[in-house]
Amino acid sequence: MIRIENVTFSYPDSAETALKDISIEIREGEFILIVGKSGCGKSTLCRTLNGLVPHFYGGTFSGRVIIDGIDTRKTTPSKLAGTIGMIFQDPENQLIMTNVENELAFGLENIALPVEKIRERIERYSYRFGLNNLIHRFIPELSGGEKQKVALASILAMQPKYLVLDEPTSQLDEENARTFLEAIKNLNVSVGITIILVEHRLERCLQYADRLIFMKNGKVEFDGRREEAIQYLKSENLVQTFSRKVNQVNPHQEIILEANNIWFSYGNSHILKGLNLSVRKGEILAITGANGSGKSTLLKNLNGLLKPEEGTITIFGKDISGCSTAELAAEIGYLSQNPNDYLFEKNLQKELEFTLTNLNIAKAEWEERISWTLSILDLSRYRRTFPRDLSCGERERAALASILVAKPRILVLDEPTRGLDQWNKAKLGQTLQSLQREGFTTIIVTHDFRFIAEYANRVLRLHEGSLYEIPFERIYPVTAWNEGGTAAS
Amino acid sequence: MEICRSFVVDSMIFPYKSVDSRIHRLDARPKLLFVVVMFIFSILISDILYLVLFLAFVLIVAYTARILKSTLSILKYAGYVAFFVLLFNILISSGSNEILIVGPITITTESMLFAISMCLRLFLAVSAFSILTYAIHPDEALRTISKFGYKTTSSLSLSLRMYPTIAADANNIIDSMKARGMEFEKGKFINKIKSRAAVVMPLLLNSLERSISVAEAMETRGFGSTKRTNFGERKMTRFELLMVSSFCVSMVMGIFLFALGYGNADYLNGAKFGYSFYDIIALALLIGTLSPIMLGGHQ
Repeated sequence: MIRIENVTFSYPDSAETALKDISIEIREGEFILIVGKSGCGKSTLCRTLNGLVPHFYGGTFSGRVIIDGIDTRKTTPSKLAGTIGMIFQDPENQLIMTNVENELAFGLENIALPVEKIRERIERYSYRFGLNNLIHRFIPELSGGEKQKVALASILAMQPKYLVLDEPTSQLDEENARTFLEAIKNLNVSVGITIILVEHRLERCLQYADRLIFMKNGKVEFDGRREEAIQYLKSENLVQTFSRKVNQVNPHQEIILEANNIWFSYGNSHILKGLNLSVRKGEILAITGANGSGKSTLLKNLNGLLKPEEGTITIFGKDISGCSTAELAAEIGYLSQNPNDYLFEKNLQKELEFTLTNLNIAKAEWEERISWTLSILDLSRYRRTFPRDLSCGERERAALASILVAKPRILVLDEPTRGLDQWNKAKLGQTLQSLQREGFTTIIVTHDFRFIAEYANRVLRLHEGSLYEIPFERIYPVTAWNEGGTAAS
Repeated sequence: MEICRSFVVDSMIFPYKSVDSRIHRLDARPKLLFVVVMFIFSILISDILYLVLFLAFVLIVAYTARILKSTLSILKYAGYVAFFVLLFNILISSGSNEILIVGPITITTESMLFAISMCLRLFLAVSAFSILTYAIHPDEALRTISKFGYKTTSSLSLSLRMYPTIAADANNIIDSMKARGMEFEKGKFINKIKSRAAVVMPLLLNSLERSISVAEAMETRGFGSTKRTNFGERKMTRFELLMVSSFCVSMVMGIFLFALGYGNADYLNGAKFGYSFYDIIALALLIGTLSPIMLGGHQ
């Protein structure tokens, strides 16, 4: 049993209290879902369970956390490793070794299991998680879903009683996320492992949980069974209601981007095969498709990061084959999957000035452009903030700001909703719509059908190197919320 | 994205490829020791004949390990460096035996021999490095080194594991910078250098954030909680033990012979290109004690 008693905690050098007088009791075999907006303290709460808070982070900690009679203040996180397993957001950062077998062995070596036992466990857990074929593979070559599976297997091989997962699916697409969550539920039911899951995909996860904890500003606002939770979430207006509220686009608007017969390949594998695309001014166009179908490759072809082997791309009637990406930056803004790649300056204003300097924009225009960008992205109050101090959703918008300040009339966004909670997604969607009203055109690559259904004007699916139009009816029902607290799929 | 990444990884980032050769089948320990001996020799020895023979020997080992092609391709890069070493030495070194005088430049036998010896040392070190990269599984290498302080080596293992991640990170950052109007392809050379420098800051910040997450993950997996067991450890075969002891003999003998003056030729101070009977004996002993590596390992 885990007992959290009156825990209050603040990070070093932080004026805010991350956790405020939290008391929770967790019984063995429970499946607990912890939800709340980003920054509410849910990740911090997770980290108190194995002593990372306060041992790893420092800060001021009061109250106590008792795991099976052990006080976390009096032991180290590594000593709790055999009891509490923890899975983090990004699988990339929790895999330590170079191949899968050694990865599975890593934790077991750390808890000094004899070699024969390690071998036996590796066999058992790689079989259970279907990793047999991957056992000698080099870890960086695995896909995101495979990596997360390896991370899970290597934690479970240590046979912990409790499993804490901190937004484990935020880097996975819908399909992989579902498989992953089902595996977790299965462990809970068949092996009896206690699950403490922090997630922002409320609808996806609630069906698996027995109990829900809702946190807000470092406090527990609600703690109860799933049935009560549904009532609570509804009464507090936290259930995301679905509504399609797209702006209409005049079907006779001019075509501003056109790709004709585009061919592209990496080595011997052909990714784009005679692809055609035309985009009208002012639309929000979504491009979807399976992992590895070449969506990101397509986007990179549109702004010159990659050059097609054959075919032409024209933007505003101009052939871009001779242009570098930098030259196109004022026409077409590109936001990659990881907003962190854009953020490095001392404050947000400097970050935007960096782009303006690169593009040789006259200084007289700077102030007007910066304030316009920050206000449309609702970031004005962070003008003097170090962008890396922002939360995940804000970072995404800050990175967008760094390209939007160039006022490119076309935006191409690669998986912009990845890792965002429903509130941040809604904010992003609304921003794209405000930009749309100002005449901007957006192309987004995404797996997020709900986001597409709510904000996109048109959906294309990339399959076998070509684009196909898909009607909205085929996307719409995926996201319906029903009374049982389950998401129809 | 995935396709793109694995393409990058395959093509350039992770050099080790599992090849079934008798050198690859060998335990990491004798191989590592062999590489270490070669490194030491490349530092100590300056005599051209010694260097040529050792280099030839390492290349034969590379050929047996079926990695000669990769080795030669790194040697090609070393060749560019060697070219400058040659040029530099020939131009500025002193000496009295002039071979050729072109205007203000005087080329002497001394400087020629010295430059050749320097280049051969470089080639020897580089080909030993190639054995280390292409013929020893990185995990095994690290396991072996981890005997001497496992915290340092775990961080080494980690940097190896993270290398492709960080390299991919760098590529993505370059893309992002281009999208923000930074020119990498066109313009003056100096500007291109400047743009490269701008990539460093975000890369550093990304890596810093990553390292915190990695440290957390290691902590939660019990790293450092107790004296750990070593899963990958296997016993060396009799042959492999023989190799390890033979290479040790070679290393000690090499250092001893060097102290006596063998393999040590000070070309700049007039040492000549010539050999005594004892040099041949010394070489035979050194290569003889290193040659068991050709036996290789068995399944």
